[in-house]
Amino acid sequence: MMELDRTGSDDALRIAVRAPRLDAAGALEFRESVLDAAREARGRVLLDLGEVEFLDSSGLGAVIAVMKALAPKATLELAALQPPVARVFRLTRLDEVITIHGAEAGATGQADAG
Amino acid sequence: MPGESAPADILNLSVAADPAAIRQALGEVTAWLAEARLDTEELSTVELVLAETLNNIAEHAYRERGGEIELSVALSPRGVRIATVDEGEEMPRGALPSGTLVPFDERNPAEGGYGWFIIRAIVHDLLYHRESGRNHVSYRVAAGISPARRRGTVSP
Repeated sequence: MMELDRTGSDDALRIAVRAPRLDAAGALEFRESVLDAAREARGRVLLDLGEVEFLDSSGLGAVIAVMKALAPKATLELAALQPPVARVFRLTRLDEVITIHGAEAGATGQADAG
Repeated sequence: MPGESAPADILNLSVAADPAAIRQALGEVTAWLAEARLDTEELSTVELVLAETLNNIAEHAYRERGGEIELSVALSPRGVRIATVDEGEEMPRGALPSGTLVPFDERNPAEGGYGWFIIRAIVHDLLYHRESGRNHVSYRVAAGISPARRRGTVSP
C-alpha cells in the first residue's frame, strides 16, 4: 500500500500522499490505498499532493478514478499541487472538473471550508 | 567549434517496457539533463513527455507483455531531441493517435486517453514511421541549451 497520512473525520477527511511520484508504476496502488483510506468518507476528501513532484497521465487517471468512485457520497478535492503537477491538470482541462486548493488547505484541512 | 558534437551530447539507453524500469530510466535521463543545466521547468517537461511516450509503448505497442525500448536523448541548440525504437505492434492505421481530448464531460471525465494529448501539446517536429517491424518515434522538446551549457563544456 502507498503510504498516506490520514487526518480529520469521515465528514471532512484529509489524506496526504507520502510519495514523490504518481506514475504508471504506482497508479494502481495509489488508487486502492486512497479508496481504502476514504471508504467511510461522506463529505469532502481533501487530497494533499504537496509531496508529489511528478504526475503523468497514469497518475492523473488514478486521481479521476478515485474522484468518480467516491461520488456522490464524498467529493474529492486537491491541495498543494507542485507546479509540474498543476500543469498536467491545467493542460488536460481537468482543473475544471476537480477543485484545487493552495498549500494552506493541505496544511490544515480547513482553508476554503464553508 | 570543431569537436563540439561530442558523444557526451547524446544519451542512449535500452529500457525494459515495464513501469518500474521506465521510472528508473526517467531518473537517469533527468539526472543527465540536470548536468546539462536544463532549468527545472524544462526538466519536468521532458520527464513528462518521455514518461507518456514510454508508457504508451509498454501499454499499447507491447500490450503490457514486455519488450525492449531503445531510447536516445540528444542535446541540440534548439532543445532536447528524443527518439525511441520498439519492436511492438504498429500504431493503429499506421499513424500516431490524433491526441484530441475525448469529448469532455464534466460530470464523467475520462480516466484515460490523455497521453498523446499531453505529448502533442508539448513537443515539436513529431515523427513516426514503421520500418522492418519496428516503430520509430521522434520529437523535440524546446529548451534553451547553448553549446556552453552542454555536458563537458559547462563552466559555472
